[in-house]
Amino acid sequence: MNRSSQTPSQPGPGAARAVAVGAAASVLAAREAAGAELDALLEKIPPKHADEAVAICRQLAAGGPDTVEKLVKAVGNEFGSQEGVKAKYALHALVVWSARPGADEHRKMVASALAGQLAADHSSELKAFIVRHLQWCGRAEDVPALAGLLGDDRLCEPATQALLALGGKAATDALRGALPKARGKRRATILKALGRQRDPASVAAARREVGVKDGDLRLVAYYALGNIGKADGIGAALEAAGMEAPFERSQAVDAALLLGRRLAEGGQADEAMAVFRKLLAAADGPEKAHERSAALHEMALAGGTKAVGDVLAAMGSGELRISAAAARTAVKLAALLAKDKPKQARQLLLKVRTSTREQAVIQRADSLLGELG
Amino acid sequence: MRHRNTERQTMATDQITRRRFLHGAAATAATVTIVPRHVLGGRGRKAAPSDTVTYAVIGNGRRKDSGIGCLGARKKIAVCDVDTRHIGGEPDNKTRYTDYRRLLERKDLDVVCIGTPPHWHALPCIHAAQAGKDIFCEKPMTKFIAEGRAVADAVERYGVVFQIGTFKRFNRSGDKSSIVNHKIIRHGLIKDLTGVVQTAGAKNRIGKTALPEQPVPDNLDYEMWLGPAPYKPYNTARVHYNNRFYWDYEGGDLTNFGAHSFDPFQWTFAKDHTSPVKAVPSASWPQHPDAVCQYSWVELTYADGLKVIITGGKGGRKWQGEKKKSMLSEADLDEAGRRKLAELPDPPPLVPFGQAVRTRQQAGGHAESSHRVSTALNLANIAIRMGRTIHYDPVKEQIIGDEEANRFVNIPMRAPWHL
Repeated sequence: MNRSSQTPSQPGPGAARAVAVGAAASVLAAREAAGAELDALLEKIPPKHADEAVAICRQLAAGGPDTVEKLVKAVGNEFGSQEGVKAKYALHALVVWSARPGADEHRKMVASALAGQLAADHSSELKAFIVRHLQWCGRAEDVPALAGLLGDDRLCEPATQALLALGGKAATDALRGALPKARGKRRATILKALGRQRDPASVAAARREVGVKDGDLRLVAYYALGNIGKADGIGAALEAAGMEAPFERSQAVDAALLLGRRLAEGGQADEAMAVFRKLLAAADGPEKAHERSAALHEMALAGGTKAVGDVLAAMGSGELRISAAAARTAVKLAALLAKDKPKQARQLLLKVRTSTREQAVIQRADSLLGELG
Repeated sequence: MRHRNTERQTMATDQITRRRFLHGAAATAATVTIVPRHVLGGRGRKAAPSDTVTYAVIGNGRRKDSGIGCLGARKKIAVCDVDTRHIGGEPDNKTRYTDYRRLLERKDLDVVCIGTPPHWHALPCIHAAQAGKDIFCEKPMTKFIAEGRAVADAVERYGVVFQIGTFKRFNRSGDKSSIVNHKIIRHGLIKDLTGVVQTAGAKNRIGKTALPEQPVPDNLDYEMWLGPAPYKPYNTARVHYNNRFYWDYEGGDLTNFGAHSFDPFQWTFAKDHTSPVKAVPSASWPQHPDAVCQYSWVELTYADGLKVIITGGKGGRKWQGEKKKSMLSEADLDEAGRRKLAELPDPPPLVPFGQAVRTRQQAGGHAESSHRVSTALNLANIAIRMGRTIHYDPVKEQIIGDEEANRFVNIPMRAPWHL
């Protein structure tokens, strides 16, 4: 290595090259030193005591994004390799430690470095490992890196799960943006996620999938309509709930009940009650007694006093499945009404005492009656 | 293996206890009520309490239907497993199934017995409730906290009967000192339980940290075996009991054996409708991202100051906290408190599963209590994995002030599966 003897203010012709070579050599030496230091740290993994582990994490964090990159490479592309075990431990520890409350600077550095690794030429399994760790430590700024994986058959699912964990508008927007091009399993994955995010802009997409051939896609469409819980999803949800195939029908019915719950939570109690009454009317026959109980249960929680008559009638049913479940629902409804509608609450509780033999339910009813005075 | 003998011994003891209950030998109020035939309704038909109940097994590997004796007179009509070796050959969708969703469509099926790995407990329970079937589910009830809430809500919504596969609370509910303890706490006769400490034991076997990919055997539908769990390449260590020691499928011995000792404690201390507010771990850290590792103990504290220490067996250091007493009694009450205690009714006897199914009552090991047991044990594991104290809101069912830890409460599932 040649070093110029001229002063820096007046470099000669070879001086810049010499400085560049010298700088590169310094970086290389620093990296080699850092690599040796990292190897020494990895030899201590797993440490005997948590204090030692924290000290290792501090040293790893001090190494910045370069150390994170080295750790990722040390985990290796081959899934389940013995050689990558210590690096896996170390990277996992660094993520968990850096995401602790009050340590956002560390967390940001680690998450950002991991997100950057998703663009590198790593195997799918290694990227899935990285994505899993972003699921724990990532935030909104890491959404773009994850969104870039939604078009990959292997990585769409873990990326979607990570986006759901991150939550928020950016994640929802990324998922919605990826839906039009998604096919097969990826489409079901992304639509389900939009349902979980309760994205109102996805109701139309969910409605379209209700009648498709792909059974998995239909199932997630029912769920999405239910959980998003908007009135423009009611028609499709109730139509699906009228189908014949038993398991799929049960999913559609449950989704319709969920939609009713969401409507009630959003202040649309009348619309919710209409959904529940339709489901109640459709659940005819002893084999659908559980669906009648479910609709009644939801009516009680959503409708309050509007459901009292239905609950009282159900407690008098000759079908034990119905009357026993109705008694439990009645106690729950009475507890909700006790403060503002004590008369209706008392009416329900007195009926409970004569309609069920379940001692635990009777005791609860007696206890509430005692509070009502 | 020692743990299997312990489980068998536990089951034998519990079966003896269940027989005593069913035949009314206990001195408590009668648990069997003769109900007129015309009042009862099962699947639309009028049935007497002694009617044979039909059931099917979902997950026919190690446990099969070994816990279902509590159902009483019964007839097994089908088995279901994703490994065709466990169902005696290829599925015929009559007595042998590989997809439990087809099994749930049977109109002649009353009860499902769920013996799958824990990552496959919540969804079959929920789907069974949606199909109107009663449920016997092996412990631990669930893999993560939000699953338990979803199961408990589905059971309540659809009015089905649920029983978890652990029974020691039935013994405790018939024990006088436990009843007194339960009543004192349930009715708020003593509100501050600081210094009251219980212990709950569990084992501590660990998983392997390197699982290279192996070929999937022809008899196993690995995609369905994984179900809602993250995809990871197949290895024999991931399946058929060994899954116990990997975070993707279960919480190790802490949630498995811990359920047996935590459940009776929870009844005795009237905590079936709440959860701890704090979890403090003493464990190896870092834990491995895939494999369950060592722990010594986890200290769980309730809002009223009650502590329960889950201990991980030999090898770990012992808990050194202050312990004033382990149970409450009349002696802990003043005169007014003792008078009040005498006036209060005893808790009703816990209803055995078979009786609950036939009379449509809530079973003794019901879904809400099982969810709360699982919650406590899952909180312990989250604290172990984070290597730090966790604070929990038992009403909102969220971890407070720790975003990373809170992401373990409601873990997204692989599509098309969802809660």
